[in-house]
Amino acid sequence: MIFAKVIGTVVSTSKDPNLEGKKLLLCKEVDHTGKPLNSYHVAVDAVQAGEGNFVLISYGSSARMTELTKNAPIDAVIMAIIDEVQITDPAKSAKKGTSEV
Amino acid sequence: MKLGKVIGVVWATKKVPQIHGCRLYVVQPILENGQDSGQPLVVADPKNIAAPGDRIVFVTNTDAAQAFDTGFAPVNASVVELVDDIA
Amino acid sequence: MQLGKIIGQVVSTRKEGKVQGLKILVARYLDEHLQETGKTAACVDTVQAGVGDVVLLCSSSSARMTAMTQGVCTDNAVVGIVDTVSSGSKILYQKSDNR
Repeated sequence: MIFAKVIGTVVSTSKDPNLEGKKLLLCKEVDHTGKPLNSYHVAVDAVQAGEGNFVLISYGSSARMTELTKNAPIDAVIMAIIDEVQITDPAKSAKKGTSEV
Repeated sequence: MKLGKVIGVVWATKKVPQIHGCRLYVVQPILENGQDSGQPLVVADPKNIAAPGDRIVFVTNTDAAQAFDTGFAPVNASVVELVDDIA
Repeated sequence: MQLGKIIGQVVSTRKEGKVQGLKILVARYLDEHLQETGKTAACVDTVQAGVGDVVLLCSSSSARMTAMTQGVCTDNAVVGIVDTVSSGSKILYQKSDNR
């Protein structure tokens, strides 16, 4: 799984029938401290995420392992909305002990 | 299978039902000598094996779902073993 | 999935069995600001996309999950034609009607 921030919405009308009724969100990949990285994903939303949320994205064939995305041509799914990332290793934290996201 | 060190916890109340009750950790992949190797990633712990600070063995990609009893979970990496010592 | 812009089509007369009869398009990957990147890919078309369309590209084994690509040796498929991409109230991309 990777950390990401939801930054937008993608709308498509002519798409594969298996994608119908699924919300597509534009997500910028971030690291565990919330710092933006150099990639993005258009991910199917399985947890009612919204713009501005920090989320976890599962990618590749694992993205099809939810009831919503089963057997659909989907290679990225938002499977959790992050409340907080708590870095317990002092050497790895960005500032203090935790990074509130 | 890869070696890693648990460096943090991801708290998420809203998640897909397949991973309910499953802890999610931030893991720093390491080499056998304990040196960092690459960027930290999120690893699921379906069997509740690990705790922060532990060294673990984790699997990635399609094998990650096999660590769950159901074999069906949208995860890219899962904890499978706790490392006591590397001889 | 990634966003891409269709820039051309691959014409090949000798193809592996199941790829025969499928349209293969050339897409240029776009970044999250809908700007073109230097990367391109060949992908099987499942939604009748055309040159100039901004599309959704699905990669790896998930690309074989459409009715058209089931069991086909492909790892990249166009699975949707994008109408709009918005960020908050800002429209990043809107498909023009006069194509």
